[in-house]
Amino acid sequence: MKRITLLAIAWMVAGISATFAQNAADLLKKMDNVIYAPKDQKVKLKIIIYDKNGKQKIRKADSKQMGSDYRLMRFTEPASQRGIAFLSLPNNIMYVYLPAFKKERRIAGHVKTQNFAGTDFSYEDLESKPYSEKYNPVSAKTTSDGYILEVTPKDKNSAYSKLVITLFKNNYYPKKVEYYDKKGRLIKVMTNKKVEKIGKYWTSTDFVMENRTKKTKTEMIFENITFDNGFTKDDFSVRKLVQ
Amino acid sequence: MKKLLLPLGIVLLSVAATQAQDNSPLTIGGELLSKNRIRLNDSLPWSWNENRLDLQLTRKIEGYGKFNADVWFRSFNFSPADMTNPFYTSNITLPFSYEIREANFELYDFLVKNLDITIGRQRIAWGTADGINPTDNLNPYDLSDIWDFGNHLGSDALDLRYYIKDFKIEGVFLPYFTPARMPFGDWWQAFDSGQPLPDTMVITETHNLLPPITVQLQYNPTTYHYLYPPNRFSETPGYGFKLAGHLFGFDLSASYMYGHDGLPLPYQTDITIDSTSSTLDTAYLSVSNTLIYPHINIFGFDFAGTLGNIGVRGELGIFVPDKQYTLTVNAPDPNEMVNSSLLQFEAEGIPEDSVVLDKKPYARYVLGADYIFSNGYYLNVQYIHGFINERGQGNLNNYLSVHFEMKFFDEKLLIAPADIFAAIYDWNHPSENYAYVYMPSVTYQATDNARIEIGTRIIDGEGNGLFANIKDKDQIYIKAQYSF
Repeated sequence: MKRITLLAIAWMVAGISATFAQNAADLLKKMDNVIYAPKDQKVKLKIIIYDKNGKQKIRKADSKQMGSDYRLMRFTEPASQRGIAFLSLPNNIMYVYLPAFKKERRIAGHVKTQNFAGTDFSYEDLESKPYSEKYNPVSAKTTSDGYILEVTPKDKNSAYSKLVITLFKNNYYPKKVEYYDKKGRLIKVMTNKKVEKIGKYWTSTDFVMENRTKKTKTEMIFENITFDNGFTKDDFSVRKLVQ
Repeated sequence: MKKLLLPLGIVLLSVAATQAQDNSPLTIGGELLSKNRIRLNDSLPWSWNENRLDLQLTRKIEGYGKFNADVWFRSFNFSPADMTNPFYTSNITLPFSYEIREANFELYDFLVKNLDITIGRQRIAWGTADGINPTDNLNPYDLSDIWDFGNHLGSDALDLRYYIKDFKIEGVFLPYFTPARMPFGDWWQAFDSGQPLPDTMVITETHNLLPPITVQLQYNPTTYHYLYPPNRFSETPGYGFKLAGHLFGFDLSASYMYGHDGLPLPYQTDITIDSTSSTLDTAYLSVSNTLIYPHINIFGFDFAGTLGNIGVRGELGIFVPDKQYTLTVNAPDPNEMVNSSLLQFEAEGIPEDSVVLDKKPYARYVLGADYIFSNGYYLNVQYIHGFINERGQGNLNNYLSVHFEMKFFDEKLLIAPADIFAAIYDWNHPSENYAYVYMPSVTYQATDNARIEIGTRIIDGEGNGLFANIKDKDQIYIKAQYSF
């Protein structure tokens, strides 16, 4: 009898876990559908980097993105970085263009775990790949004002062991993402400060990445955002990177 | 041709501008740079003082093209010690120059879709390696500051690039020849490829009626004459082609270039007698070296990609001179020294004519890798076969460059404790044929746009190779840079 009870409990736990995973997968998919709903977007980006004493540095960039795999970002400020551009392509191919040398260069895959241009975002954080492609859903739970989703990276080379994502209840857009390192410590928290509906799409126009270890944070503000500009693959090529 | 290129460019840009719907404003940027160096010998002489305003102008015509210009305003060198009128001749008191490094128009989808054209003075950087690029020969080297290595002058050119899927086909035409700018001051010694001159000469009477006379030779400073190619369309143009693409996870390219080598080659040495001592044991000679710019074909190949977490790249240049180049030595006539009308004399010990560049192909190549550690430290290693001034089979040396840098305090402080360039010229006798330059530095990033770098360059070596020739020129330096 005891054995049957244990088996039943085990079966129920497994079933509940499967249900959670199913919910988590659904939520992850819904979140991706909201984030990646526009075919493409073009934006002027303002990046504010705060050091641990609160001192600010400002960077500005022009960015365009198509789908989940194509992104081109070009710095316009500060002057020392003006013209430096990054191109992300499918299959983890990334290029950087250095105007001082008039050359483009492939970026090694592992660089993705490094910080991007002195910000608290890594290249990995800024990858435009859908979460469901990069992470496995682990669990999900519902709270009074949203959902909490736990995911683990598919890529063994990821800098993270897991992400805990809090979603808005009304639109499934992420409200907050917590990043845990390989030792299970909370190292970074990304908060979407301003999520608004522009045209027919929900989008975050102001978000902050806090580095809990270094006590620094980076805020990204989107200005002049436009969606569905009709970009094609040709707009995300090495040719466009160097132009 | 010059008359044709500029109006053509203006017309093309005008056409583009009239079609443009979203004109960006003219962007004015650039940097201020100050470089100062002290040589580490007894009197600690200042060896370099350069203040430079680099003004960069860009105007984008969204989707249609771009105008680029880069102008250097350079206050360079020191006031001369023998200045006669310091009050009114400001360009002598503060030597100053300016140069248009680049001025060009870029047009996108020119005539047909996916064809881009750049016309005007421009830098066309080929190759994947860092700093030393065997395939990067369209623009001549700017070696004026030997420590700012990798700089090239802009060249007046027409550059056409056609893109098809992951491939690019490029054609470049350079109507004029521009020679490389050689190192300033006595840094020229590093690149001096002139014929070594003997210390003594033996004069013998042709019929052995007199015992041989050994004469000590003293040389006045060598003068150099550069024979530029005649400024004719049949002589000066160069051209190049390149096919680049992405295959098997790597960026690959193959290229061909034909033109004059921007670095000169010894062509003729004239040694003449200025005077002799009364006892005829010493002769004072003048040496005049004439240099030319050989025609050369260069076949290039390069790759870049990643192996695991390591960035890798390689570059190969196969150089094929158009003919064999011989250095002619016009030796002094010993009969002028002896001044005898009855006897005939001949001299031994004066160098003879020699081949300075064979027609046989030779290959220079670079293999490099870099890695960024998880803490942000950066390591870059390159193996180089053949330095830029080394030509001909059997004359190419092997070099190793290592650069390691660490960043601290939110990247405000950058320390490069290991920046080394080293060579062994003769593996059979390495202790007598080596050279290295050790260049540690510290950079403080004061603001996003302001940085100050302090470092040293310790040079040592034995033998007759590059850098071994300049081993007495150790230095410390400070460089300040502000971008705007």
